[in-house]
Amino acid sequence: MQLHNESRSVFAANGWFPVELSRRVPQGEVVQSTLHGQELALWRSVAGTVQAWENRCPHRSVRLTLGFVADDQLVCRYHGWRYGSDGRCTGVPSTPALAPPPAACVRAYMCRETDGVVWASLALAPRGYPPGLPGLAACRSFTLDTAADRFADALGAAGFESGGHPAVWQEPSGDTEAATLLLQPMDAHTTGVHLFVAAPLPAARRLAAAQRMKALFAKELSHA
Amino acid sequence: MLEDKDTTVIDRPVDPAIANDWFAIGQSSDAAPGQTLRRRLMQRDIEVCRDGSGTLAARVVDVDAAPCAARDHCGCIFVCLGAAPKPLFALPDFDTPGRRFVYMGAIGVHTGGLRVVENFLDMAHFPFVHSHILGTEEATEVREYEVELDERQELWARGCKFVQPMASAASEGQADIDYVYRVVNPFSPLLYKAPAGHAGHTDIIFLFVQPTEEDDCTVHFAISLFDDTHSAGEITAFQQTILGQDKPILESHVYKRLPLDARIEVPSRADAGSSAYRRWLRQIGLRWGVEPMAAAAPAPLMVEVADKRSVADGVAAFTLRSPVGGPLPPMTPGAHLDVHLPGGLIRQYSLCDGPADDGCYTIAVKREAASRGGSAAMHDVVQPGDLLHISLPKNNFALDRSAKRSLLIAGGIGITPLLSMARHLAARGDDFHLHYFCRSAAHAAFRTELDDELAGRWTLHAGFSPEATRDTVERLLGSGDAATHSYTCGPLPLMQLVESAGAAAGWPRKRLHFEYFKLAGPVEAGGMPFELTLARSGRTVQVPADLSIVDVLRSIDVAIDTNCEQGVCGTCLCTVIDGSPEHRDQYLSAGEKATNMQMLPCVSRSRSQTLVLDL
Repeated sequence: MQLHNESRSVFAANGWFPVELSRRVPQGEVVQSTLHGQELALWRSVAGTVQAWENRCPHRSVRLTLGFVADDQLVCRYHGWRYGSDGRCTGVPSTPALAPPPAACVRAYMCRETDGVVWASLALAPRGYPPGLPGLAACRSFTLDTAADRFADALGAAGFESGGHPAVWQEPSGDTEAATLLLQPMDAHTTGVHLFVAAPLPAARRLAAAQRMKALFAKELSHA
Repeated sequence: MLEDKDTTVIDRPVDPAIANDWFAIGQSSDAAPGQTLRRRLMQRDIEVCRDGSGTLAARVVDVDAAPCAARDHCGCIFVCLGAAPKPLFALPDFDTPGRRFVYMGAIGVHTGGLRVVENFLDMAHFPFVHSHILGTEEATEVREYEVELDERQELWARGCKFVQPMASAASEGQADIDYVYRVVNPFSPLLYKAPAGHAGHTDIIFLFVQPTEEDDCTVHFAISLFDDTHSAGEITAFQQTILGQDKPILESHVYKRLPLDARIEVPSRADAGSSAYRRWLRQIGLRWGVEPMAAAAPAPLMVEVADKRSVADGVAAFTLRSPVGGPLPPMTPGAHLDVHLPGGLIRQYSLCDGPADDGCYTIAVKREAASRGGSAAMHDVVQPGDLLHISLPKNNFALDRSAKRSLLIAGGIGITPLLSMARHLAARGDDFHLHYFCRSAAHAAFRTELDDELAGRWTLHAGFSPEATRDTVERLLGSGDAATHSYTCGPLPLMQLVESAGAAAGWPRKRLHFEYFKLAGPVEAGGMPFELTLARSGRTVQVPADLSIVDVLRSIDVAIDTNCEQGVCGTCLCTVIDGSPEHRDQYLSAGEKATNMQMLPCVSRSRSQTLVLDL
C-alpha cells in the first residue's frame, strides 16, 4: 500500500492511468485493481457510474472487493456497512437506530470513463484529463513483470510513438491495424498493458495483433 | 536478505506485554510420552517434549536452547516464553461431570492473531458472514451488553444476546442465544454460549491463538459441552463450517496486524467489546502484532483562483480550479470547504456548483462589516491567479435520499449551498422550489444564474418586514407532506423562524435541515472543573472552570486539530474512553451524544469528575 516516489517520472502519481477495461466492470459488480501500489475496488452502480475506491472498509479494514453492490451502494461483506457513491457510510446494520459515524468514509479516488477504459488517479487534483481513444476497441490485456517507465522506454526504443499521454503508445505503422498500448503502472515492478486495435477488426487480425505484441514483450523483457 | 519469517533466530526480546502469558500450541494428546513437538511461537521455533512420566518440558531452539515453561491445561498444551509465568486461567467447569471435551483442530489463519480474537468477540458479523447459521439479515441489531476488565486482568463481555437460526450442532431451530465472552489473555478467548435461560448447560468454546508471526497464526479450536448424542465429527464439522466462513474475511484485512490507533478504523456502538479489547491492549503497551500509528492527515488541496466577480452588493464570487489543469475532487450539494486565507485564518464557505461544473469550485463571500479578517481578506487581498490551500469538500448539510420534494429556504449569503442543491435537483428532475429572502433585490446574489437556470422554480422575497417574513415562512411550512424535506441556510433569526414554524406545523426534526456557520446563541463558556486523562500518553491534567479542553491541551503542547472551535465543524472530534462528556456542540446528533463514544473537546466538557480521552 506504499506509494512510490515517482514524481520525476511521466508515470507520476498525479496523472491519470487506465485501471480496467469498462467491460470488465459490469453493472452492479465490484472488481479489484492496482495503481501505483494502491489496491483499488472498482464498482459500477446499477445506474452505470464507476467508482475507484481504496480497497478497504473504514470500519475493520477488510477489502471491499469481497463485498457487493446493492441499491447503488457498496456493501462490505464483513458487517454489512453500506457506502454511497461519495464514499460516505449510509448504514450500519448493527446499530440501525443511530446515524452512521461521520468518520466512516471510504477514500474515493478520481475516476473517469472514456471509450471503454476506466481511468483513475491517486491525486486529489490530477493533472489534466484522461485521453479519448476514438475508433479503437480493446483486444487483450497483459500483465508484465517490469516497471511502467522502463517498459515505456523499451517501447520508445522499439519505435513506438507516444500517443500524447504517458500511458498511451502507438505501434510504428501507418496502417489501420497498428496497435495502441495503454500502460497501467500497477506497482514498482508490475505493469498492466491493455492492447487496443482499430474497431471493427476481424478476429484473425485481432489475434495477429495480440501475437505481435506478445512477441515484442518477450523480446523486451528478455533484455531486462 | 533473510526475513523474520525464515526459521532464523531473532534477537528481539519477546514483547514484555505478553512475555509471561501462556499460549496454546496443541492438544495434550499431540505429545505422547517420549515424543517431541516442534512448533513456532512469536517468531521463535520451540520444542516441547513429554518424558516417560508424562511431564512436559520445552525450550526455544536457539543458540542458548533457553528453557521455557510448558503445562497441560483444559485438554491443551500451553507454553510460556517468559521467565515469570503468570498463573494459568481457572476453569473449574471444565471438570464438571457430564462435560465432554472435543478438540476441533489446529487451523492456520493468515492474519494477525489479535484480528482472530477480535472477530471471535464480535457479534455484528453473524448476519453477514454466518448468514442463516449464527444470524439473519432480518435481525442485525446488536443489543447493548456489559464489558469489564476484571481484577485478574481478564476481559469479560456479559449480557450479549443474538437471534440465531442454528446456534450449534444440537440446535433445533431459531433461538435467542446468550453469550458470555471471556478473554483470559490477549490471545486466548473463551465463549460461554447457551440458549436463553439455560445457563447450566453452556457450551464453552475455546479459540486459543498460537501467534506464529505478527501477521500469521494457528488457531486451536476446542469445545467443552454436554451433548452426548452428536459424534465428535459432527460437532467439529459444524464449528469448522463457522471458522471456514470467518477465514477468508480474516485473511482479507488490509492491515493484518490490529490497529490500536483510533484514527485508522471507525467503530460503532456495537463494537463495545472490541473497543474495550483494544483499550486493554493499549493499556498493557502491546507492540508485537499491532499496526503502527497512522500517518498524518493528508495535506490540504492547492487551488488557483481562476475568476473573481461581483454577484451582488458586497458579495464576491470566486471560481477555484486545479493549478495542474485537471478536475477537482467531486463535491455533493450542501458541501463546504475550509479555505486557508492569507494571514493564517481558516474560513468555511459553501460550494454553489451544480453537477455540470466539473473541474471547478465556486464560492461566494459577503463582505462582513464586523469581519474578523476573513471576508476582508477574500475581498481585498485574494485576486485571480492567487493560490489558496483548501480542504476537501465536507458535507454536514446533505440532501436526504428519501425526500420526494424539497423546500429550499435561503437568507442573504445563505443562498450558496441552496443554489448548489437547486442546480443538482433540477438536473435530476426532482420536485423543489427555492425561496430566497433578501434585504433588497440588489442584495440578491446570483440573479443571472437563478433566472437563467431555475426560471419558475425560485421566488425572491426582497425587502420583507419581520412580520411579512414570518407570515411567508409560516405559509411555506404550512403545506408540505411527509415526503417533503426543508433545507435552510441564512441569518440566525430566519433559521429560528423556520425551526419554530416547522415545529408548530408538525414537521419532525429529521425533515428540517439547517446549515449553521455561526453557532446559534453564545457558546456557554466554562463550567465545573474536572480531571482529564490522555490515554495514549497516560498524562493527567486539570481542566479549570474557565478553560476548554482544547485550551488546556494547547497549554501542555498536545497537538489537536481544531477548526471552528465553536462546536460546529467536527474537526476536533475525539473518542471517549471513560467518563461522561457534557456535550455542548451542534455537530453530533442526539443519538451520537447519547452513546458518549465521541465528543468535541473544543466546547464540550465533562459531567463526571474524571474524563479519559483517546488522545
